[in-house]
Amino acid sequence: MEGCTIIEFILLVIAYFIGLILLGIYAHKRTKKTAQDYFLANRTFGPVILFFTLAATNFSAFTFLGFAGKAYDSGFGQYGIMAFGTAIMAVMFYVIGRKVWKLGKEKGYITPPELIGDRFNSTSLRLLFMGVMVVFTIPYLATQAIGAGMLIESVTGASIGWQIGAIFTMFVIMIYVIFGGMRGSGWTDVIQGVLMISALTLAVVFIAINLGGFEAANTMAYNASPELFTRPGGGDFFMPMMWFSFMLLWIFADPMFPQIFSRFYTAKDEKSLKQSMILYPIVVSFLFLCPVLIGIWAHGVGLDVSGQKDMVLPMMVANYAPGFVYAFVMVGALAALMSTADSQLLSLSTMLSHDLPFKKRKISEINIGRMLIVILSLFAILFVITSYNPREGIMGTLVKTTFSGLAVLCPTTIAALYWKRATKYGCIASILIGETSVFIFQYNILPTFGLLSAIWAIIIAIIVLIVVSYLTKAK
Amino acid sequence: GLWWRQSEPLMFGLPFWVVYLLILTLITSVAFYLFSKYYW
Repeated sequence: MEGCTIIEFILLVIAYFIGLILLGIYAHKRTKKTAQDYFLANRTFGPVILFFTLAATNFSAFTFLGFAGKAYDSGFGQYGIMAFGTAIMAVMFYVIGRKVWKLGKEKGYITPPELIGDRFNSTSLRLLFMGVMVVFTIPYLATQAIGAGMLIESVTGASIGWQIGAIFTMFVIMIYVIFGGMRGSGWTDVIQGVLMISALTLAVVFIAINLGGFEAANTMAYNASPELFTRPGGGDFFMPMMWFSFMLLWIFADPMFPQIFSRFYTAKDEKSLKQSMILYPIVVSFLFLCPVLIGIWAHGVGLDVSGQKDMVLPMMVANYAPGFVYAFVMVGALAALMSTADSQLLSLSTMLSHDLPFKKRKISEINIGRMLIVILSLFAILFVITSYNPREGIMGTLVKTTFSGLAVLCPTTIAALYWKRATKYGCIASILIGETSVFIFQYNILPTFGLLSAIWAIIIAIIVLIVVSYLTKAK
Repeated sequence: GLWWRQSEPLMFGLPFWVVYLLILTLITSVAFYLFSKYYW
């Protein structure tokens, strides 16, 4: 690390962590002792905070590490599916977000399962919806912590092991989420979002300058690996059916992440949702190009990633940018990880404290939420220490489980918001059979004909929802 | 309402279809603006 020592990097990270904790404590002072205020910031997020909290929550470990790793493998196709796919997904801010916001404001809903359960007057559907969200979000939370640990290990030359780094990061997140609740999470998301965007931009600019300019860097990569500039790309990954699958997947999957769904409740007004929808494509159009370019440029310079594709971005920045840029980019990457993890932690604890049928509560819902934040953090740390294999590609792990599993909830959500004839039995059958089909297609028990298993699972969930709803009686 | 196995011509060193998708993404933002102004 030229121009920046390991000690300086550690001091920068500590200063950043202290800043987040102080912001969490300040948010705590501004938060009233009501569940609405602690869990939803009293539904007061204006356009700027709402946009940044949605974006920073949505763009996670693989925006930094996974994108670059996948682009190193498969080429520019990664930009297409991520940038346009995520941009068109913002139409769901209208289809789902607007309705969720209105119902939340009218009926005081706090969690996604609460809205679904109340619409069908069904506790079993509410618990099933919550169960799916929790089961598919906890591994994703652990992945963020692992990503942070890997980054810290990489920067410090293994002076700090990835497990220690992951545990320390998780501990800091736990502290500022306990204090600040949704307001703290939203405010820190603004800082982390700005950090993330500036870090990626700086990384591309400095690497391009070092490689003789933007066009020269691309030309070097084109001469070394021309297959990355076409589709299907490296390893023939982006076949037409796969391309179609990814373009469709984000529309159904992204709004179903509990941390994204919950943020629809926090909007101050519809104007905030509208402006977030308009800004989303503008930001992703250039932001997602940055890690993809860096991953592809690695071929032009003959970088040896030796099996660690997810670390191609830090390696490129370390080799082709000044030390201070490297340190800043690494803090930006940590910001991307932490802004997703804190939102997941808060949304999980909100659901578990609000949707589980606790009886005879002697302590307030906020304090139950805080205890759950501690328990979930320890659970994620346990994941880190024991069972998770951090050497697997992050993107592969996520797409295999989380996105498909959550996308199955989308037909039920749309039916709850729009379709009067839908029944709770239709929704329960749709979720159960949809989730089963995720694994049936995932393990090739049935052929997918080149599509992602998630697409088949969504189609099956829609068909089951319609058929069972018509066969059962709507109240 | 939008070139498989092609990469050239390169524009700023990028495959032309990447530039096309970048422009399409920005057009999506314009569509959202008009949608929120005239329909939502």
